[in-house]
Formats: sequence, structure tokens, C-alpha cells
Amino acid sequence: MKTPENGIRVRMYRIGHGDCFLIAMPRKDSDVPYYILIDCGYKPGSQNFLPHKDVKKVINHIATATNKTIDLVVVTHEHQDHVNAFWKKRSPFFKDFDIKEAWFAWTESPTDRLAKKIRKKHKDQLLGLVEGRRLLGLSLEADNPTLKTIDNLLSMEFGGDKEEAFNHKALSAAAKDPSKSRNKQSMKLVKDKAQKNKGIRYLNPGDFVELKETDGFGAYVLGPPRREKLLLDEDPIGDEAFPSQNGHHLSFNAAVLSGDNKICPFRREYRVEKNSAFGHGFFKKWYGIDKHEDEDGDKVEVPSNASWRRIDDEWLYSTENLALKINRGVNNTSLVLGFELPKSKKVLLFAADAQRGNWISWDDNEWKRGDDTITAKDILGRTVLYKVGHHASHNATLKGNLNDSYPNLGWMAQGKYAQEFTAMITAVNEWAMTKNSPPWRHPLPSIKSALLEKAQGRVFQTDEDEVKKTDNANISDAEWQKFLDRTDFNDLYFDLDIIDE
Amino acid sequence: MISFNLVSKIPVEAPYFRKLRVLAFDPSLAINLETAEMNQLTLDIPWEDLALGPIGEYIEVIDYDPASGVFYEPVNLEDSHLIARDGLTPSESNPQFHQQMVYAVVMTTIKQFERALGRVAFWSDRVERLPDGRYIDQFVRRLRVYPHALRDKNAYYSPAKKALLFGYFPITSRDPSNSPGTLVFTCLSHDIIAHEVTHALLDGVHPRFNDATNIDVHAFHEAFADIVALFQHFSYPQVLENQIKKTRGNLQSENLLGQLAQEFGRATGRGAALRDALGGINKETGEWELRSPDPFALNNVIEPHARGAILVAAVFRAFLLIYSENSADLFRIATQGTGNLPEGDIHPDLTNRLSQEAAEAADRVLQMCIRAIDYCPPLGITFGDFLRGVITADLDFSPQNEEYRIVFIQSFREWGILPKRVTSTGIDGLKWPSADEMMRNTPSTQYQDTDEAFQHRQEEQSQKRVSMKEYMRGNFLSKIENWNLESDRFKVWNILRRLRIQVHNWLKQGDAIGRDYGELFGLVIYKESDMPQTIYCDQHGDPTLEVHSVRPTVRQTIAGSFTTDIVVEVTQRRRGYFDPLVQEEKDKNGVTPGEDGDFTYRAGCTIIINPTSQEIRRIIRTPDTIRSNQELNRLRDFIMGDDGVVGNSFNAGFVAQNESHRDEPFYMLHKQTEE
Repeated sequence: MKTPENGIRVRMYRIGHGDCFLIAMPRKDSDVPYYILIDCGYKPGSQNFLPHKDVKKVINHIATATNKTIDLVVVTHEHQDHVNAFWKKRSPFFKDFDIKEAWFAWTESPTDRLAKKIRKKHKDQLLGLVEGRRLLGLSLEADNPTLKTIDNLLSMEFGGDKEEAFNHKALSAAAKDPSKSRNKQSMKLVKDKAQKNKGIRYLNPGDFVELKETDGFGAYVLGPPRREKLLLDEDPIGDEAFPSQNGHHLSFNAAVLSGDNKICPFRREYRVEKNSAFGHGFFKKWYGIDKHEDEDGDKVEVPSNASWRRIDDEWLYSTENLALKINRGVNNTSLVLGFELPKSKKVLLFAADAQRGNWISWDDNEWKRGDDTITAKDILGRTVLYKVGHHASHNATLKGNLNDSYPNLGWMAQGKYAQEFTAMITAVNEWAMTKNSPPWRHPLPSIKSALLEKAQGRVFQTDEDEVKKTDNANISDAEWQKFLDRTDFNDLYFDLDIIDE
Repeated sequence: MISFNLVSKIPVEAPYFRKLRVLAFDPSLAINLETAEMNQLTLDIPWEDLALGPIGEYIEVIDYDPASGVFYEPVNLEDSHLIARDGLTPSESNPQFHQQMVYAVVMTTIKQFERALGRVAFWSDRVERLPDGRYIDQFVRRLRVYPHALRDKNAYYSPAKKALLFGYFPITSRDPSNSPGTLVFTCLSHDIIAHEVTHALLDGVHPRFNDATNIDVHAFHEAFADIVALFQHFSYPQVLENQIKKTRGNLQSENLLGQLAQEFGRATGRGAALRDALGGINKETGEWELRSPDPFALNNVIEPHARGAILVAAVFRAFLLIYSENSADLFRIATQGTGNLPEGDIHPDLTNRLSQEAAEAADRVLQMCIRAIDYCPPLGITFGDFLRGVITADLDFSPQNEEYRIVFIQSFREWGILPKRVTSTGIDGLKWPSADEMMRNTPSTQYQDTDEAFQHRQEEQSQKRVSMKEYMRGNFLSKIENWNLESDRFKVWNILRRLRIQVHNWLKQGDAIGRDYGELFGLVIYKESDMPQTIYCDQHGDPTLEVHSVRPTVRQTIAGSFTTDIVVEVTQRRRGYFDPLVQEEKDKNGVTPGEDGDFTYRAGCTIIINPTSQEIRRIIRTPDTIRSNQELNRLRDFIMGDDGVVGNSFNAGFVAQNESHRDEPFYMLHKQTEE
């Protein structure tokens, strides 16, 4: 892949419902461009809704385009749809590539104290999640939508390149020993390759990283935040005092992981063990077991031991909450980068899967560049390309206007930068809507239309073969044609050239 | 040895009340010296004989902890030792105290409702499908309460199980207000209990009330449950006096009365109560600040709790306005007219008198809010509808005393809560119309509104009114049996169930008169050639009518006596489709038998009838009839999240936001998430 004259080329691979971007920048003192690959992953199955239907074609294309040497690989966060096309068990996709340098968020750092704590917590939660899923599976039909949702979220955390059924043994092994998870194998492949070139970096918000082999290109690091509360959930991690390794002995996790040796919050004298409770007249009459007393009857008053009022499995539905929480938490560990072009100061904003907690933290930092102090508002204001957060879903692009105090879409592309503002949405809508229950509204129509309006139609979407000027767009046909001249659309990828002058 | 003869020849009447000890707020206040004393409270619960559990007439506490795999021994509140000592002493480590506390707080809340509405409370019916495919409504005598159902930061009312499920969870963070490793039991929070049972009580009044058909519905439910929990604080004199003393009578300063769920709020990392109706910590100064009314606040908030908080703030402000008005004289006396209280504690007599004023105002505000639930449309409530309900109900209950109505309007206006489709925000403009008012103001299809026509129309209409009344008497009101509201709830339930059938007949069998009623109530009673084919119809092709509820409600006449009106709720439904083109096609060509749409659009009305005079005193209609395409489209846009943007989030729509599949509307609403 070549760079255009006086500029860079951004290639969005139509890999599936997931992210894969290749950027070519002019290298200092050489004709071979400087290649950056940002993520490489997809939701298995989604590729079948695209013209190429085969992820391998994408990987082969990257190999040809870069001659299998990538200067910088950015892995934004450890989710299946961002990493699963780096590795597979037999003949890993990126086996033959050379990776000079790799960037990760600080949350991946092996030495960062807070990062270690977060990973420990994540591991504990995953263990509970896998076990809760198994228990729930014992009482629900296999096609129960709650199970499907949980399985889907589990596959995000553990990875893999196929659609497969819940495999308790494999997942609990992977939860106990993260090196067995396929996401982790993908991460490891990238790390190992970069390590060979001593090129691993863990980035913190507030950093500005120069790309030394280019002529003045660099990247602002906006997220993930170091504020734990924004990053994970309402539980402050703080100084935890867990009495056991499964978390607190009376936590949800402990209950699902302890099998029959459950610990109870009250003294023995108050307890009636479940096995003996139904000899106890009270619970037999008021809670019941098996069929209730007049299940086939036509009584007008409900029986005291009606089976539909029982709650034996009710508590296990917390598994679904836990899964959603973990998923959001990991999304918020997304490494968010703003690449800056040296002459025009244009910015390409790669928001990965950042959700609200990540977004609102961007303004916590300022960047010192020489005598200048750069704010998040400046960076967003110069954004000409926005990689839309989390498949353009709810809560992953904030709405607002320039005067609002939190970073939002309204801050982006001010003044002259507005004229070429372009958005890229990594979503396969038909797959998202038909293969998930409840349907994933990716992209969310209200976000899509806000983007279309702001970009006057310059919105790329994985599953759409072309872009169209919006009906009320305020640009001439000539200008639109100039934009089209900077693009290339085909079955495998979209190219967008950005001129730096 | 003396032998005790325990049988007396003189029978002793049952006492009026059973005294039971509870926590006024939650366990966290018991370990703070300042609040410990008032946190232990003894409630007077109307006497009823109790079985183990406790199990009484309204609720059954069944203590099963499935995560621990055990049941807990049920408490026996009939034990003479427990009766003599006002129940068990508050203790976090005794599950039987937990059982006692949920019982006591649930019963207190139920009694608030019964007092306000003048009738016995019911839980929503269980709809049971019989083996032959028919559906029957079953009577649910008792709400079930599971004090230790979940290990989660959650507590909710399950309409499917007719049960309250409370969770418990360990605290994991270490900070000044939390001790890591200790447990938080949501069933020990007065506010959480009162909140959850309010959801159940509301479900018992209106079965479709929780269907989210606009942005306000869930927010309203959360707000209403919070209002009940908050104002219940004021009915505990000990708590009230403590807080009046602490704030020196200024309830606009930070105080516990305006806060909900302190322990839960801190344990979930908020560093403060879960909700505060008065104000909050200013992030910049770190100081607590009174929140002043913001007429634009509603424009920016979509999340149900945050949106509901605005309604709570508006109601709380109405209370504060009344309190400061009614206590102004006391402050004048105490300060000799200067208005400046001397430093230090206020006089105990002043504390006492101020507490009385606060208790009285709070009780009145709470009763007004509860009464309003009879004066709401059968589904799709908005905050504006609620204001109209409050005003109309109060007008019917306390016709002379305008003061409270005025402050409600003032406070709601200051918070930007205004009903749609009203042209004035005076009491007259806000009250729901009577049938006569509706008829006078509905344009006639037969006559132009000219002077000549006017006379004729008047006569025509009064004729029509007479025949409609006669018809209603003959077909419906004469069938009402003499109901005794103090009698067995199952008997009352049976009477009301039969009345639902009568209402159905009344509306269905009147031909031309039925059509007149239909026009008045916003119902489509008979088939119309051009009506959309997606409307659910009966075997004759007429739109079905669902009579959700027929119930009595108490009103005070101008003369001061009490009289009973009848509230009737009727709805109709129509199939909605996500794709507007599919909708158009089905509207025109009909549906296949047994087909349901992607969603259901409902419309209908609530009517309030005076059975003695046969007047239809109030008509409360949904925004439009079941024929309305505009309303159906609005509902589709709302469900799909296509009706725009609110706050700093793009509106995901109800479908996408509701990530769970289960039929548990309050489960996801109450779980604690990151925002």
C-alpha cells in the first residue's frame, strides 16, 4: 500500500463486525511507507454477510500490502472482535509477520499496580461468570435467550474465530489460567513479536507519542482513564480485603464457585438446610416442592405453594448482569488515540470501543507540546476522521455541543476541519440485528443520522458498498467528487486519503 | 407450687396495634452516635393474627436464601414474649429480625395506601392459562416477600411472581463510611422496602401501568416509589424531631428526611445516600448544596432514576413551600418578628411544634400523591398527567382547601413539568373534565356551531344525557352490590370482578348509545369500515374492549361527608409493526389469525362515575384513540429509539436499552450499573 502524495492513506478492512485498520504514512528518508495496524478482529459469523465472506482474504491482503512487515500494531483492548484475527490454533494468522512495535493501554502493563489489581478482579469475575453460566444452564433450555446473551458476552472475553456452544471445561480452564484463553493467545502473539524488536509500549492518558520514523507524525493518548470508577463499575477497587481467593466468602462469586459447601450469612441455629426443609411443615406448605397442590385445578385463589412463585434459580440471573458489567468494563479499557498530521495538524481519532466512562475522562488531561498546551477539545476540534466508538452503539458516542463541559461529537471537527470530517463505522448491521437476541442496534439509527448530518454523508460502514451525499448536504457536486477522488471502495476494504498541507 | 390458670372468663378484645421494632433508615445509622438513637423505631401495625413467617392477610414472608442453599427459621411474632417486648431487637445477624422488619415496613406502607384511597389494597391478579387454553384471573391474597433472595446489589418487585426479592452483598471497598467484608442487606433498608412494595401496590391498581410507552413511564414509577418512601419518614415523630432539631427547623438544609438508602448508596461507591431529593454534593466545593428548581432539567435526562428524581424534587419542593408557609408564624413568635433564630439549639417546644407542622404537611402531600393514582390514564402516564391527577383528586377530596393545589402547580411549573394539551395551568385548566364538559366542548358532527344551532344542540344534548344516564343505570350501576370495604378481601375481589363484566356489557350492548359513550371516552366500540385492520377485534369484527379495573374510590363532598365513586379503566389494543410499510399493508389488508405484531399499541380511558347521581365526573383519555396512526408512529419511534436524543446520550430506545429478556420490568431498572 502506497501513501498519496502529501498525505496518508487510511484503509478500513471489511473484516466483519469488528475492527481492522491499516494506515500508511510517509516514512522519513524512504519510499517504503510506515505501516500502522489498529486491531484485527471480528465477530465470527458476521463475515458471511459481506461480499468476501472470508477473513483469510483480509489477512492475505494485509500481508501483500505491507510485505508482512508492520511498523506499529495497536491493540486497543482485549475483546474478540478486535484481536481474534491475529491468532488461531493451527497456523496463526500473523505467524509470518514481523511486528516492529506494539502499543497497548496501561491496563495491560505487567508492572502497573492498578493494572494488576484490575486484571485480578477481572479474572475473579470471569471465574464466577463461567460457573454462573453453567448453573443457569442446568435449569434453562439450551436456546434460552439469557443463556445466549451470556454466551455471546463470554465469547467476547475469551475469543476464538468460530461460533461455538458453551464449553464449560474449556472456559473454566481459560478463566483459571488466562494463557489458555484465545484472546490472550492473540495478545501474546503480538507481544512476542514486538518483544523481539524490544518494541512494546503501554500508554497512559496524557501521553503524546512521536512516531520517530516518520516526519513529525505522533499520537495523543486520550484513554483509558486511570480513574477506576470510570473504568470499571461502581465498585471502587481501592484497598480490597478479600478473605478468600474467590472474592468475599459471601459474594455471588463465592456462591457459584463453592459447589455444595456454601457459606451462609447467618448462624447455624437459624438455618433449615434445603434437603430437610420440606419435612418442615412450614416450607412444604408455603414454598413447596415439585408440583403445587392444585396445578391442574380451576381455583380462583392461588395456592400457597405455587411453583411459579419459587425463586430457586432467580439469583443466578445475576450472571447476566455480571457479564454485561465485565463487558462494559473491558470496553472502557480501550486505548483511544488521536493521530496528528504534522503540517495540517489534522487528527484521526480512533475511539476503539470506548463507552461513556472512557469518553468523559478525555478532558482530564492536557498535553504539553513545546510551549503549547493542548486540550482534548483542541484534539477533537481538529479531528477529520472519527473511527466511531463501539460499532456506533448507544453510549459509545456522546451527544452534545461545543459548549458542553464533556467531550462529545459536537466538539469534533471545528472550523476548516469540518469540511472534510469523515466517520467510519465498523458494523455489519444485518448480522447484528438478526443474529443477536435482543438485536444489537449497531449502528444506532440516531447516531448514524447524527454522523451523516455532521459529515454530510461521508460515513463509511463495513457492510455498505458506497457512500452517498446526504440530501440536504451543503456541498457542491465538485467538492463531493473531490472527496470521492480521495477514496477507493471494493469488496475487501475502503481507502481514504487524507492530505497533509 | 402455684398453678397458673391461663384461661380467663372475661374475653379480651384484640388490641388495635401490634408494636414492632424496626430501623428508621438502615443499619449504617445505628453505628453513628448522632443518629443511633432515632434509628430505632417502634411502629404501630394494625393488629392481625399472624402465622409463622410472618404471614398475615396481605403478605407472606418466606425466607429462602437459594445462593446459600438454606431456608431460615420463620419468626413467630405471636410469641407472648415477643409481643411483650415489641418484637425482636434490631440486629443484622438475626434473620428473624429481618423478617420482622420487612413485615412491619411493608404493612405500614400498605396502610398509607388504604387510608389515602379509602379501600382495601389488592395485588395484581395472576393470569393463569388453563389446560383447555382459556385464561382465568386468579386472586393473589398475599404478596410474597423473600428477604434474602439474591446475592446482588439489587432488590425488585417481580410482577410475574407477585413477590418482592431483596438482595444482599458484601462491601468490598475501604473508606470512612464502609467496612470491607461486612454485608449490606437491602431488606434492612426502610427506604428500599417502602420503594419496592409501592411498585407492587401500583401494579395492583393498574395492570398496564408499567408498559413503557413514553419516556416518563418508568421514571414515574421510580419517582412515585421514592415519594412514598421519603414522606413516610415524616410519619415517625422520633426521626422528625431529631432532624428538626438538627436543622433548627430549616428543612432546606441537608437532612436525612430528604435522603433515601444511605447505606446502599455508600456501599455502591457514591459516598452519599442513593438519592437526595433536596440537593447533593457540589463536585467543585465538596459541600452539600440545595438544588434549585430548573425548568429545563427534564430536557436533558432520560435515565429513569435521574428523570424520576426531578419529579421527586418537584413534589418535595411543594412540601417545603407548604412547610415554610405554615411554620412562618412559629418562627415569628420564636424570633419576636426578626426572623433570626439565636445561635444554638432551638427550644424543645418549637421543635415539637415545627415537627407537627412538618408531619401534617408531609402527610397531606403524600396522601395527595397516592390519591392521584386513581386519576391517571390507564397507561402511558406522563409527569404532566400526574400533576393533573393530583390536582383533580385533591379537588374532589378537599374541595375547599386550595393552598396545597396551588403549591403543587407552582413547584411543578418551576421544575418545568407541564401537561401537554392544556391551555392554562390554573386549577381549572388542569383538572380532568367531566362528561358534561366534554360533551359541551366536543364539536358536533351534525350541527354547525351557530346561534340557531346552539339552542337545538343544547336540547339534543340534554336529551342524550338523560338517555345515556338511564342506560348506564339500567345496565351497570343497578348491578352493583352493596360492597363492604372492610369485609374479606376475596369477597370484595369477587364483587369487583363481576363488575368488570357489567362494565363490558354496558359499553357493548348499547348500540347508538354505546357509540355516544365511545365518542366521549375515546373508544372505538363498533366496527368502522375504514378502521385499521390491525386493531384486535372480537368474533363480530368489533374492536375488543378490555376492562382492566373497576374499583371504588372515596371522595369528600362539599358538605364534608364521604362518598364512594367508581373508577373504571378500559383499554383497546392494536398490532404495531417496526416497519412502517408493513404497518401500512397490515392496516389495510388485515392480519393472519392469531398474529401478534412486533409491539402493541394501546389506547383507552379512565372514567370516574358517581353511582348515586349517575354523573360521569371525570374522563381521562390517552392522547388519542386506537385508530390514531400518529400515536402509533410515536410509540414506534419511542420503542425504536428514533425519537431523537436526550442528554449526553443518543437515545437507544427501550428495546435496545433493556438488555434482559426476562419478563421482569423492575429487575434491570433496579440493578446498579456504572452511571
